[in-house]
Amino acid sequence: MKKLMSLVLAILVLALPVASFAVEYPVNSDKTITIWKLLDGSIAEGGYTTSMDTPGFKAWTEAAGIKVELQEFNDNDALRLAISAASTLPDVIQADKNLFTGGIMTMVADDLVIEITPEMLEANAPDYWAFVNNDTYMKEIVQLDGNMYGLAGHVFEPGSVFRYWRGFFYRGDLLAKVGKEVPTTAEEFYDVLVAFKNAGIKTPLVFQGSGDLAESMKNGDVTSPFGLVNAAEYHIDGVFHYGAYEAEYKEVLRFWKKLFTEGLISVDYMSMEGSVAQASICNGDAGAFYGNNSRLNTFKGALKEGEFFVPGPGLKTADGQNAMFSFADPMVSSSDFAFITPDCENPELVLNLYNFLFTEQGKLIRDFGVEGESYVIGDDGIPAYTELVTNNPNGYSLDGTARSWALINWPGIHGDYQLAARHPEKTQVAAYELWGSSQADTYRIVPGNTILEEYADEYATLWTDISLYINESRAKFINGELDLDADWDNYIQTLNKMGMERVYEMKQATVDAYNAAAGK
Amino acid sequence: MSTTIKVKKKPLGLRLKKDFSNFGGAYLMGIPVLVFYVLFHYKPLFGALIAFKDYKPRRGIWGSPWVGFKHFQSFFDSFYFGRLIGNTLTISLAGLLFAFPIAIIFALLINEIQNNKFKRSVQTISYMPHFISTVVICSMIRLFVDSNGFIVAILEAVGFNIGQSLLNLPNAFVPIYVLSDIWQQTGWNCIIYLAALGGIDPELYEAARIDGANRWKQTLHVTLPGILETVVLLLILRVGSLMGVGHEKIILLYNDYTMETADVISSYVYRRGLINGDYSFSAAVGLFNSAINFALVVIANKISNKVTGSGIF
Repeated sequence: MKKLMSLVLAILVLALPVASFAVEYPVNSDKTITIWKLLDGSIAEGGYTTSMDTPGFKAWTEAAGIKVELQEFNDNDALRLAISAASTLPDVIQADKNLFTGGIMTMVADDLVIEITPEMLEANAPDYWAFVNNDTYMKEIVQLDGNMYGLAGHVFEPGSVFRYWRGFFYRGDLLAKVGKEVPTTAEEFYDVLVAFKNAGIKTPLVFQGSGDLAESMKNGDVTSPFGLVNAAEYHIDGVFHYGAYEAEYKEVLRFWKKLFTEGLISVDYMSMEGSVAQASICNGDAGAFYGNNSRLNTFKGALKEGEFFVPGPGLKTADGQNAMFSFADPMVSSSDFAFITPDCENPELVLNLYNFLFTEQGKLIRDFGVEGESYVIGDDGIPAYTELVTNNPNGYSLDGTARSWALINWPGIHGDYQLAARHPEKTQVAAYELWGSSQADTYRIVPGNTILEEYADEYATLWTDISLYINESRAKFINGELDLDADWDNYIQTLNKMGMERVYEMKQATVDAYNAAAGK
Repeated sequence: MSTTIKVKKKPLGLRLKKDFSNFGGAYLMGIPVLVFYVLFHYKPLFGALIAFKDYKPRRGIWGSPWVGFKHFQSFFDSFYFGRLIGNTLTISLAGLLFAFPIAIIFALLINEIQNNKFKRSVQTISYMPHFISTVVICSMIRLFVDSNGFIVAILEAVGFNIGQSLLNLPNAFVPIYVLSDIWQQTGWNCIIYLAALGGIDPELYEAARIDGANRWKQTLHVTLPGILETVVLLLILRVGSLMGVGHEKIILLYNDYTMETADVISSYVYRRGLINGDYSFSAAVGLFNSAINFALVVIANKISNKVTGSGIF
């Protein structure tokens, strides 16, 4: 009898949280929540200028039964200035967690955000809490003081390759023409570009934007063959490194210099308009492209019959391992954190609002929009976009309509199940998978781009100059203005003089503090 | 014997009242301007205090801690301090030397056009680029000076060996900046000179012609003295913004190659102050610039008073 009683009691205790902590939607509150956030310019490609007018936003707030007043800003500078000048803050600042130097802890010190406790989440955002309350996410959400501030924005399902959305593409038809496979090593990469050049392709490799050669180095796409994880921040067994200060970086630069000198990348790569680069990959003036996966949506209309793209991986290590690094969002993206401000009178309602995006009903609206209009559920039970999104009668892009009719640019869960819907091209899905095969998670610093608050000022002062010097030197080493053998020592010595060793100390202390907090 | 009669001035209130009844319309028209200056130029002066504080938005200006000259020191200690000052002055002086006189010359040329229709067309076409946004202008410049752009094509046709975007060449940055400025702003800048030219008494020209002055002599002895005050005024104001090269066009055009000639104080402050949200630092550099600009205006005004006999105060 005693055993039975305790069993019943245990079941009751286990069932209690689920039973008592569900939010009933629509909440039907008469209060209005104010949110300040960045404007997602891509909704213009869906025919809208403010998120307030988008069908996705309306569907969300109506289904949640909560009125929302949005104010959207064109860029982070404008948002920061508005926050700085405000006598009363909005209820929510939805922004990148690094909006202010020093990240979330700076916002805490400046009294811009309130703490969110597990109890608040259990009671008011149970679906969100059920998803993130585990080691994978909490180590990126909980701050050094052990508290949570702000709801995480974009979170990725464990194992999802959706985080890897940047890398190399090749024109598959041109590869076939020159008789080459997709390159995986530095030698093959070089050979392919040379073969393109010999076949009359004007600029074998182009970049999405003028800063993207540097980006590719920071993302480690071509550094592994030379024993370097990437040209920016990483750790090896908890020890902080900055690639552009490491000895192996010299050989990476030598490789790029060779590509530059032999005309395998554009001589104008540093100032080339993005539109020029993108036109050249479509018209055959370029054979390879480094940029975002979503670009293929734009490119596909410009290709002629028989022309197609294939993704290429980050280059392998000398001993044949997958690339040590690649572009990837962390499991909790830094963008779109929802910070509840001290001026908010109804934090519970804010939690209810964002929680909705993590419910089953909310996930459908977030990912697919309005049933019968922007999506239908197929016989197999899987939702799929309608032609309104995939082949918009007004000519709006898939990305633009999906961001307007659904809420894919708002907080929520990103999972592989969205891949096929969002990317009708098989190539794009293949690209995520290929880029996701890197060893990035072994070396990534979590959370990245952070500095302990006590160092924030000193770090900002040093880093403004150091990063500029690294950028300028990279450009000059690649174009030959600086000599890799004669000027390398001076480069390292100058970095020392500028305080690079101190940067290492401050960064190491930050990494240690986070590791200690995560119990590593 | 001369007698001086001392006229007792009426009280200020009375004089103002009389003036207002005579020129009420003008006073009314001046109110928005006055409000603008009070709100946007005088009221924020108080905010310059944050240059001496570690300003934190929510703590407000008074609530943020005093830090003395920390931010000034930090700017002076910057690795690139000398280069930033040098580049700023180079770009400003190049503008002063080339862009400034070209607007005057252009106004004089337009003034000589007899056909009114043609004159108006030239004016309209020449100030059109002024209305194109900086972002678009910079995109156009990037395309023009690209290795496939028409400017490089022309330069190569006349024998220069370039083969790359001019924006890759540090030495080309200042010319690109100043020449594009001339293209964009000359038409607009010459409007004020045209207004000054319109104010010259036609009888002076008539008298000069009777004295046998040809067109060139008329320009030299009537036109130029007629607009001299305007020129001096604008020159002094321009000297007063020598340290103030704006960041928008710079950050849209520079790259890692051209940093050594293109990075100016405002672009540095943009990166460090605005992107990092370090407003106190921005304010400190702004204050430093203003102090130097103010000193330059005073010096330029003094020189002008001495040389030409006219100044702004």
